[in-house]
Amino acid sequence: MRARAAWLCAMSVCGAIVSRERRAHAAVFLTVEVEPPRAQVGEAVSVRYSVRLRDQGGVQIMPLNFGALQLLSDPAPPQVPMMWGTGFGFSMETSTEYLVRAPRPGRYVISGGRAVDPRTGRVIAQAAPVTLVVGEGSGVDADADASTQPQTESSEAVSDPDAPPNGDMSGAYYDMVGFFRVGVDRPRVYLGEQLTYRLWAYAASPDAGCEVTEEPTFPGFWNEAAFTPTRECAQRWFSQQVNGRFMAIGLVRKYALFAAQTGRQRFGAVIGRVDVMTGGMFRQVRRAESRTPPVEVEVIEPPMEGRPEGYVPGTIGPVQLEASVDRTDCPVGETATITVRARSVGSLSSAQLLFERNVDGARVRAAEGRTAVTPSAEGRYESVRTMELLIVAERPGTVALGEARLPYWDPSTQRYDVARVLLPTVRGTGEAIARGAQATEQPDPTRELRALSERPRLRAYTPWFSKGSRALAVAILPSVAAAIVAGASAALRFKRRADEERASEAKNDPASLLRRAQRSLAEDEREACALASRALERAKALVREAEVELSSDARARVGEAEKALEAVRFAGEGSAREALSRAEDAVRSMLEALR
Amino acid sequence: MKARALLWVCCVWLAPATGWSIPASELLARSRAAATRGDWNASARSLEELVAAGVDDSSVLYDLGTAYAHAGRYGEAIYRLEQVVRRQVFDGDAQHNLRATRLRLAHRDAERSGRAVAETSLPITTALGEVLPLDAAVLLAVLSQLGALVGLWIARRRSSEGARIGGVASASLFAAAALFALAVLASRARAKPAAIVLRDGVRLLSAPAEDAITAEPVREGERVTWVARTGTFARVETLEGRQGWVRLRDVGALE
Repeated sequence: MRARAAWLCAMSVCGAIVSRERRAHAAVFLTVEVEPPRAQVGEAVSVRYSVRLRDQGGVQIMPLNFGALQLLSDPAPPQVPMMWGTGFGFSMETSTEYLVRAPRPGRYVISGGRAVDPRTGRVIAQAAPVTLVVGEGSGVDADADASTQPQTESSEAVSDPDAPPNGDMSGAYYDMVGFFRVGVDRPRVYLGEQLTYRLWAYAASPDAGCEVTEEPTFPGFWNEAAFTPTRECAQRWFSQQVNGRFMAIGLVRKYALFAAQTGRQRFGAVIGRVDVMTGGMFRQVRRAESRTPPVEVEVIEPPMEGRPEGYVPGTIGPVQLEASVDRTDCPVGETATITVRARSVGSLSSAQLLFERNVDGARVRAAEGRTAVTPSAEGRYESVRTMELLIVAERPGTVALGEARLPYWDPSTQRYDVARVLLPTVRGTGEAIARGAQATEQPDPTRELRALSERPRLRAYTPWFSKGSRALAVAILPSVAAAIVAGASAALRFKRRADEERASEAKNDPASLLRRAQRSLAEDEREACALASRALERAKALVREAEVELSSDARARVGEAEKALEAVRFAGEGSAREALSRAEDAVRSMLEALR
Repeated sequence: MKARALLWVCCVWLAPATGWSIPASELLARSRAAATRGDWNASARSLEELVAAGVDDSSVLYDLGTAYAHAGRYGEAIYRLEQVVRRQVFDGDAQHNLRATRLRLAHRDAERSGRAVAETSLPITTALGEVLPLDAAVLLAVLSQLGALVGLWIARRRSSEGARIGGVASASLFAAAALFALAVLASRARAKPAAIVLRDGVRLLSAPAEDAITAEPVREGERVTWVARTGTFARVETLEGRQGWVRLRDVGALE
């Protein structure tokens, strides 16, 4: 007994030593470093908040208190995994870097760095406060700077038109985590001039996603999407310094817009969200709901002064014209088609081609034109309008149409111009058409109009129905009424039949007794046979009452059924099912005899 | 004094009703006289006044459409004759004049531009919806359903085999007729309101504004469907699926 106690004591001491050793090894180190420790007003200062765990269970790192300093980056503290329960311990190092700046000279204390035990709330470790000394410096007033728009500085080549513009953060509501920004390449355009609309998503980290929940609207503009929106957040990515902090920027939407209406046009706001992954090794999604301010564009008409004859407002150049013909040699009376293509980065939807319509020896007709919009090499869109001229030579020889002209307004030079192209010649071959041929044409009876009505009725037309939906509702009324009547009568019939069945069962007639016997066969065979015997007795009584003579065969069946039933009921011999079927046969034969 | 005041009030009240209105028969007579002279525009003007006064019987619309066609106003002629044909499907004269007007318009377009569209076939559901006028379709549907019900009742009640077969056969026929009429009504209920382009040179606008950019042209007499309406502009869709805005005065609604 004593030896056992000694052994237990030794084990306890060993356990205590081991646990003490373990507790002695667990440690949390917190460090806050400022670089540079002395700064000027408005200067961006880097603050590194480091956490080092050694054989430590779950801890919670508290965020730093930056006091009056302006924080330009994500304020979240370093993330460490939460391990609940005892016995877990691990070692790791993580840190987060912040960007701050001081609004005015002075001493700023960065404090509050603590590691807390999440179970007990006890502070395990604490970082020493760090003091940042800020001098007068170059006299930049950070307060004034902060009150205006955040400033951006791109790291991309300025020549890329899809990169967001530098300077003031216009077209966006700034958010530290992420936000959307819209931009148009010019705020004032001419009617028909092309405008590019872009939507960017700004995110605090390159590891980001976004979703547009409300798409932009462009009243007063035709729009062509430069790329189809997909599940991907953005089609292209850029980076830009926003207030001294790098942000990832994705091109989310891009539209080529053609002004279709003059006046101040307002594009609807875009609403969406930007998701940013933060927290270093232990990732955490931070979501920013964002909306853009509405964008206004002024659409003006080109001036009236100097407007060339035949100019249609909305035709924007510079326009390149080219012409081709489907055949240069064309028999007299047949049609040759000259195709004229006009290209411009502006709208050509309403462009009108001017050409000589009265040509000696030929008939010239202009067919309808069609416009297509295709992407051009410079990332913009190009309108291509195809117009066809139909030439019918009336006599052999060369038909020269001269040049075709298309007046347009050139916004780049701020003046009107006329695009010209020499139309190809067509050579008529064969015999000339006689001018009088058409005059002798027979009248077409299918084009002859019939006479006016003999006696028009001078009254108003008053239809019963003017709307198809009402007429349909009235027309289906008989069917609906018939369906209701049929349904009601079916329900009544069903109810009547059920009542009759219930009544017949209540009356103890042989058929219902046999049905009850069949139902109770599975549960109690003797009870079933008793019911079948009662059915036989009832049937026999009915036969007696009706004074009907049973055939010998029927009598034999009745006798066999009685025997079989009694054998099952009183001696427990034979099959109850078989006895029941014999009783059914017997009852049926008696009921048939009754009929 | 009171009597005089009462007389004055009565005169003022009755004046519009009696003093300046032209009887419908007089307008019709003017129209006929102008048509006899070959002045189809004047004839159409008198009939327009009749229609504006609410006298819009199918025979008046037929005359108006025919007068327009003679005057070369093909879009308006097609609009009026389409109205007649929608009301009276079996009006042979209106059908003929509508076809003739379309052919005349096609020849004019061919003369002008070398190309023309004589007639465009409607989508099957739209065409089905216009096989019968609404009133006739409702009447046919109701009577056929009643006939089918009576046939079923005869088939159930009559004991003779011949009467039963006759009842079932007549019920089937009536049911088929009812289904047809209901299909017509359902197509009509689903169809968007139709309209006809009244004038030559109408182009679809990109926005409901007078200074909006014009897009593709729509043909005179072309059938369009009515999508929306804003102020004096209507958004229409052609049978080829092109959409755009037109001025209300350039299209005539068929319903």
